[in-house]
Amino acid sequence: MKLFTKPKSDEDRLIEGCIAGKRDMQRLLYDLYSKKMMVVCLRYAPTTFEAEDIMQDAFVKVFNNIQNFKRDCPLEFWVRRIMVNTALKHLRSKQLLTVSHEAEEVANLSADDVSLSGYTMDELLSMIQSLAPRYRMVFNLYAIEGYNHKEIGEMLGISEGTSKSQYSRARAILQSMLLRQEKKLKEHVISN
Amino acid sequence: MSSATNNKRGSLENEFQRRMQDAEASPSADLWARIDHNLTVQENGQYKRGMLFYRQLAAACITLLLVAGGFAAYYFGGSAPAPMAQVQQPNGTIASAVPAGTDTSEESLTTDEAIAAAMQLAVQPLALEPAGQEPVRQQVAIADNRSEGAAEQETQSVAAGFKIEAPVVASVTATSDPSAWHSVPAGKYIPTYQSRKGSREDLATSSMFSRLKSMHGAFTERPASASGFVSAGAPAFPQASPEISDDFRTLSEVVMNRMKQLKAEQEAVQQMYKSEKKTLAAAGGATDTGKEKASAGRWSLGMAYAPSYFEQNIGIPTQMMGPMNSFASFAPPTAMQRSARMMDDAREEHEQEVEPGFSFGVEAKAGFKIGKKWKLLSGLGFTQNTARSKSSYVIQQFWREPGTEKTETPGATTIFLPSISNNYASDSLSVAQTDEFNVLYRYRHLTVPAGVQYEGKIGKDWFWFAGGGVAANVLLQTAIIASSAEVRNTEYDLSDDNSPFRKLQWSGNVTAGVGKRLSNNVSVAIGPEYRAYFDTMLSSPEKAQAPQGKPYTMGINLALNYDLGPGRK
Repeated sequence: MKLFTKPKSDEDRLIEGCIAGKRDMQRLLYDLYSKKMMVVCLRYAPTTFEAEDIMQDAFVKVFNNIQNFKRDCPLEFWVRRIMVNTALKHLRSKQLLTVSHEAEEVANLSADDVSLSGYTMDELLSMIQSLAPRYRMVFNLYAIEGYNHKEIGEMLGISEGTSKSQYSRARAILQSMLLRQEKKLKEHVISN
Repeated sequence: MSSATNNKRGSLENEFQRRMQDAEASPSADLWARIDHNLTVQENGQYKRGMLFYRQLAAACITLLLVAGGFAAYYFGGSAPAPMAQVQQPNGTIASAVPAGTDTSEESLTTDEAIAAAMQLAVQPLALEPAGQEPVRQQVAIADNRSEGAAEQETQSVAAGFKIEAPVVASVTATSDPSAWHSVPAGKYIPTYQSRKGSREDLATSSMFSRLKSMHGAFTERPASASGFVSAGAPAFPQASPEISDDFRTLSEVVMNRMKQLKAEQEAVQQMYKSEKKTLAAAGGATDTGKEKASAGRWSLGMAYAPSYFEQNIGIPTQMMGPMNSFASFAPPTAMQRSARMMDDAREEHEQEVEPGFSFGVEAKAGFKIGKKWKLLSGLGFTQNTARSKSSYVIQQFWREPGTEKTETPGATTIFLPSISNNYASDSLSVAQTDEFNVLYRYRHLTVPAGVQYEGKIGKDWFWFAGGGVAANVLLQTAIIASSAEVRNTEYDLSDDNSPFRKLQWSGNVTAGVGKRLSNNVSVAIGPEYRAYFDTMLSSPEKAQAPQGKPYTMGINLALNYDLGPGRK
């Protein structure tokens, strides 16, 4: 009789079901995380179709490798990391991570006067998606995922300095976009 | 604002992170269906790969058993010499000495003719000759059609299930009767593919069998007077009765039929798997090409070279030999004592001087991977083991012909041969001391190894291995070669009944070492190898005058391996 067995949480049962290959458990896990992970994929992919491709590959990887999940972090974090890695691999396979130069003017603005409260999620996503692949990647990894430039350099196969310079440029482009949006909004208000 | 400022986390980063961290967006409704489909495809693929693996494993085991069985049947199957060997006998040999019409000669003739007839029967239906030449051929053709029909039926059922082309049918049809080819339903197979495949196989089979036919022609066109086993005016082999059974022939037929059947099954399974993957890929399902490639490369080919140290462990007596007793009756006491002392000196010299010579083995092996680490190995090899000694004594034996005073001698030899067997009796021996000369003992074996090997990773390209196995060693030739012109060289062939050496020797070997992958497919390996023979070198150690040890070799194994298929990625 097991007196000191730790009661299994729902997440444990979910993971065990997925390891056993039970399709209903896999569906449950998918339902649990698909919406959040879709946003992750949308941030890395230029289009919704590609985001769904990435997500499909990533979830298959999740189910194939869930027995390797060591439970040293939340399951959501582990799934998110697989999404990010799959997105990186996807873009690398399409050779979208080559350095490109933005044609648009980059504004030098202070970061303090930026507020995103007036923007919808779709607007913010479309701004990120409009960045060049390499800039989008570095911005996502640094600003949103929270990796530092050394880690990003290792992940993308670039130097730390390159990561910093690309992030700086990506940030400036985004600020420029935000400024233009704000100007348009002000003009619209004045004209009305 | 400088770029340095742009690298620091500010409100922009925090704001983006806050907004994005818990954001949600609904994927399209069919995304789960796609994932579900993908997982199902993978599960099916794994199942099929498993099935394919077990089929290949079964094929490998059967091939190994059949090769070993065929070899054993060939070796132990019968003492009747082959026709070519009889033809090559000089005048006055067994074939001509045995009176025609005796039971023994008739039996061996019948067996030889049956083998020849079976070879011809095997050749004729596939050589696409005009039908109706010989009535015997039709029986075989019926048997062939029956097996072809079974294969066709199986492939058709597979093709009907998965809507694929069936190359097995194409190949079989191409080699069968033309009327049977036309009976294939129109539109079911692609004609271009069929003809291409058929023509390629026709070329291969016709060229192979034309060579066999030319060999057979050489047999049948040989004048009857030139051979002891073809009687004058007797018809050639085609008239021989196919009903006469011969174990080796039956075994060969079973082997060939089983191999064909296995090949057809494997091709059908592989085709089925490929076509299903194509279908699923066309339907949008993702493929896992990496795993497929990994499963495709189970087979490998390898060559190994192993220079070694060979200890033959043949003992010779330290006491006076038996023949000296008879020697005593022909020689005065002083001469006998002197000769006996010299014999002892010769044996002592042999004991001191005998040492290992340069030995080596070469092997060509096919490997079959079981899982990721284990590998089954089998193939064919050749080993040449040598030992050497120095001698300064020449021994000569004499026999008296019964009823006459005439003596015979086979020629001078060393102390080695008269010392290893009691059968080496003679009426008298003469021992003479001469200048020192070298003696080489050389044993050439044909080996059929079978074994297993385990591989483990050391680094990216390096690996270690350990393995073991057994081998059947057939002694092809034994030679005792002396550097002195006074001493005759002695050679025993495989068919020499006078040879005191064991003709079939089993051995076991263990090896371990390290290897390096030079490319995805090519790897090299090196490591020590120990091979122990399970029996003594002499075929009758109980008749030897001294205890006999079991030989062994210790050497370095150098191997080159080529993985078939895509190799390691």
